[in-house]
Amino acid sequence: MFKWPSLVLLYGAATWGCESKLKPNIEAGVTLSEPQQEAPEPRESVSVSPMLRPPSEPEICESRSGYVPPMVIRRLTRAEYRNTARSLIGVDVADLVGGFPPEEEVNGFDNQSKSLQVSALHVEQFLEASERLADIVVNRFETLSPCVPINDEADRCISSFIKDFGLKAWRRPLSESEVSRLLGLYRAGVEGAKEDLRAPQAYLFGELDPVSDGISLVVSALLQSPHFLYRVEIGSEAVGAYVNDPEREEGDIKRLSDYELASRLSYLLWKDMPDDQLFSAAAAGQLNDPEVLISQAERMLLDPKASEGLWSFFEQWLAIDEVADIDKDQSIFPTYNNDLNALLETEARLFIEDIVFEQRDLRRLFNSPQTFINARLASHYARGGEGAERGPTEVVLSEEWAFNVDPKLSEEERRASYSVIPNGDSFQRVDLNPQRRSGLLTRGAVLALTTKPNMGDPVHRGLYIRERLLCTPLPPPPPDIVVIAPDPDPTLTTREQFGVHSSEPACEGCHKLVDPLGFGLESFDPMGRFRTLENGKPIDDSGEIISTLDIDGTFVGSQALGQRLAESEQVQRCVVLNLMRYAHGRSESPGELCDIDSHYGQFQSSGYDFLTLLRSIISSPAFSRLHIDRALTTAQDAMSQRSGE
Amino acid sequence: MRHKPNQRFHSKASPSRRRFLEYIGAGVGAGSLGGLPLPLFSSLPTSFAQVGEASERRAPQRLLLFYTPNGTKKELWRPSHEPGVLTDLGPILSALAPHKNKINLFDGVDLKAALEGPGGPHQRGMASLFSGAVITEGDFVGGDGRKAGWGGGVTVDQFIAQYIGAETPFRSLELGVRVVENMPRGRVSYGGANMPLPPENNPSQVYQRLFSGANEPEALTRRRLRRRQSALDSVLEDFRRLEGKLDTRDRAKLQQHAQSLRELERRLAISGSGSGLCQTQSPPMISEIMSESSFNEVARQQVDLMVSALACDQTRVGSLQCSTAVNACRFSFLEPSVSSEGHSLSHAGDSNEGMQPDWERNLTWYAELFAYLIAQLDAIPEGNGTLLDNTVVLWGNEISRGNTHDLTDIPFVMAGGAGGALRTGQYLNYQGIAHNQLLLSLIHAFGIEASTFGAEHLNNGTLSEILT
Repeated sequence: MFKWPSLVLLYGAATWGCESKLKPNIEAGVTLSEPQQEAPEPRESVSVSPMLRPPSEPEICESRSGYVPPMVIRRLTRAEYRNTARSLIGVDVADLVGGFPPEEEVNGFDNQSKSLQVSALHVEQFLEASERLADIVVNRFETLSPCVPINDEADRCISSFIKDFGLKAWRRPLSESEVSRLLGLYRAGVEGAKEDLRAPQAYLFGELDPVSDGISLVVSALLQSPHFLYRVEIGSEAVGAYVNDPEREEGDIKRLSDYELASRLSYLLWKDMPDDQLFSAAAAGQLNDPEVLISQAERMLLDPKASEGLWSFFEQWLAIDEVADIDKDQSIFPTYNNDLNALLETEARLFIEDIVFEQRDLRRLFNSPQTFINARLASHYARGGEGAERGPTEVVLSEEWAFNVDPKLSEEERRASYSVIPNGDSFQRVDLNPQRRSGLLTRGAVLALTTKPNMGDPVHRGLYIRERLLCTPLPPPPPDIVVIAPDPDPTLTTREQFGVHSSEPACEGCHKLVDPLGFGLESFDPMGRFRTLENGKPIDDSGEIISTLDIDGTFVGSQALGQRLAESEQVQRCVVLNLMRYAHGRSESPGELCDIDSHYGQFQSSGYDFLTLLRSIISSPAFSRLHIDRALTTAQDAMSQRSGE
Repeated sequence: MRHKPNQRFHSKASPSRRRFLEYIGAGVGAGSLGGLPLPLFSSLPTSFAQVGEASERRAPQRLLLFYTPNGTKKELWRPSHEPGVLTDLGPILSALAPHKNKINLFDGVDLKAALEGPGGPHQRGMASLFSGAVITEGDFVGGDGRKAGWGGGVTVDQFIAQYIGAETPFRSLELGVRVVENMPRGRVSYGGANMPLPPENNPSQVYQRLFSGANEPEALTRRRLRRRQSALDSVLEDFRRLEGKLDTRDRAKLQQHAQSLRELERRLAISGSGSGLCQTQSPPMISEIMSESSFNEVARQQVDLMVSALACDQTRVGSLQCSTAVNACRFSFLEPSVSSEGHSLSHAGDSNEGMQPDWERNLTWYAELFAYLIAQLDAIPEGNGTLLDNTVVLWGNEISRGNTHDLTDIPFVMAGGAGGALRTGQYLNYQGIAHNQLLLSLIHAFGIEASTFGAEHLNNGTLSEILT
């Protein structure tokens, strides 16, 4: 199914009053009828957030870095719940978690604390999930418990199970009173079952084992508890306070407990609960030592769970998680079938992970002329778009896939070398002709995603760049105006049709920010194939970047566009902002200006190594400390204050 | 908190009610109906007229919100005649003709609250539609320099549920059809400012929630209830102890969770003792509930389930949400097929002869779905009338027209008399009032005394023409 979880949001803004939703051979052009209110001012520029700029007075950062802004307690996301349950119990419960209500997305991410609320629907799902998981625990009790609950030993064994399993489920040791309360629940379960067995209708209950009944009750309660469902952070000793500081919200600053910190680390890197080693480090009280924290992070990054966990950041930031839902109109794109989505997604993932973990230079994301394909994906690209050169046989790649071709070769030799294509299902690294394809924006996943089901769409492509890569949402849309699209001119190319945006003052303000970015990718059709013609007319892929801090200017083609993005400080500062939002589960605070700049500094001096940026964020006070609200308001007051935010 | 089941409503009705619901079950999911909806109960045997027979007690009032996105074409929506008694329906609403004396159509009711606050028109419209409140500022792009947040207040369904929700196992029921966007544009119901309620999109899960365990022996139900309550008691104790250790922000969030848990506990207690009363067959499984091609079938199943839930008194408050604002969903089940998805169609220029007819068919389909809903409600006898007579359904849209994003003159349709509290059969033109007056009128129809609803400065009393 076609959907645009966050792009569409911008699209809504972009379409306000301007967008005509052009369709091939259907309509082109926009005329404005009489505005209902005053005529809109054309918008000349988009403001770039101060959070993307270096501090205007860098010297203030000597005393103003290390801000720990307030945030709200975080509920586990569906993915975190599923991973945690699997680590806890050893069984994947994807089907169970798939029924939970989806997260409300903010900042393009599913893990933003403010929006992770709990409704009546959630508590029902949590209840049922806890019972299913409890049944699994009962069935696997011998592997999960250090002992067997028989005879006189039963209570002692259950006690140690509660301590052991409870520590993992709640990601911290249980207090004595908690253990004894849960033991009471166990006994109530056992007694209840015994009564059931004595009831006249006992036959209805099948094989009822009182001990199992007690255990499942305990597990169900543990897994519905806030200590399981949330990442509860109470903090340990106070290390400071913000008072009478206009840039910092009033509050006490506490260190996180070692267990709380362990969870922060494991959910950031793994989207999962801590493992035994991390629990041990927490138990030994070592994690508040920055060196231990980082060495644990280094260890965890080597675990395969880290590439799964961190992929969640990249797939959400770069919208690769939406590729699975691409749907092309079969009547217009008969060769695109939805099986391609998974291949395109794999290509994008391998490409991104290679740059993040192997090449370790995030600039390469925008200009690397390498990719990963298998035979089926190769044959998709090899078909070529309109006007593109085709190889001599149907599964031979066109010139863009010039794998290690020596330019001195003759035409015949060169053509022969094209046929060196991957075979089989496995993906292989291949070199591309950089003039034809380089960087993420020329990967089929992004190209196919940022177009409509039935036509090209430079607006979406431009929005993708502006929102996700430049972190500059569109400027204010004009006030309410009436737009009436005239009848179409079927002889126009996509570019020409969208060109009308720049001839209408009311549209131009928004659209010159995005359309000319998207025009730079016009050499790729909506299926991501290279083309030189559209409707028989030559492709024009010249474009222009405006309203950025450092890469404004005209350009021609995707390679030049990618190169500009690779060189942009604004783009790399946008990476910093996105990772901070994901890592902290909240929007940035204005008080973090110096911290953002400091992370960027580390990132830059490492040659844009993502893992260095990640370490910088993990090492920051905002990651290991907690802001405690000092205001003497009641919870109700706090609610209404937040409503007004 | 342990409530007794609503004996008043259940006791006498149960035998015929059970048979009746079996009858519903036979009809549920009777197949993809394609074009015009076929009311399943148009030929109900008269013997079912005894459901809720007794005139000595008043049947409960119910509220249902119905939502479809992207505006309409008011020139084809409104009747051809002047405001007054509704005698005629515009082409888009022609499916409602059989019900014209049980509906009201509104001109000149504006989402004035959506003219304020940050965000784009779809966002602001959604945030205000059923709350009358101004959207909050938040983290969502799409605004006028500011960023949009969630809705700024409780919606009318949840507000009324605070008064009448405790009578039934579910305070309210939020059902969706392909609600894929989990952001302000995708929510119509709010428990309060910044408290969006996600709808359930999967009819099978809805069925499970509503009717699972309806046939099991009572001893099993009692046993499960006892065990769940023990676990929930322990969990609520965790919440209680934790609250004191958290700061106000976190505490507020957990209190909301704990409130939902207490609500769940209450519901379990009610449904535990009311089991076996209501039976329907489970709807046929739809494998791809979020796919475009299933939209028709999922929508009808959700309508059927909502009707069953109201008929069985599982809830008295609900919302049915057909996708989201800017839904990007193509109604591929329409024949001949439509050229594009709804949002694109809604944006077509007025002179676009290729797309406008498709958009009109899309709009007609929404009206047919609404007609399908009210036909079912009207086919269930209750008291001296029907379930529809004791219900009020409000159909709203976040904008009035797709290609202008106009937030005035919203195509509100109201159906049902809310137990005699509302006067129907009218076509009304209010010439530019804030829709807060309409929402407040609903609240008054439920006998709830409130002087304002939503943004206070947009309130100006109720609508005397519709209140009896």
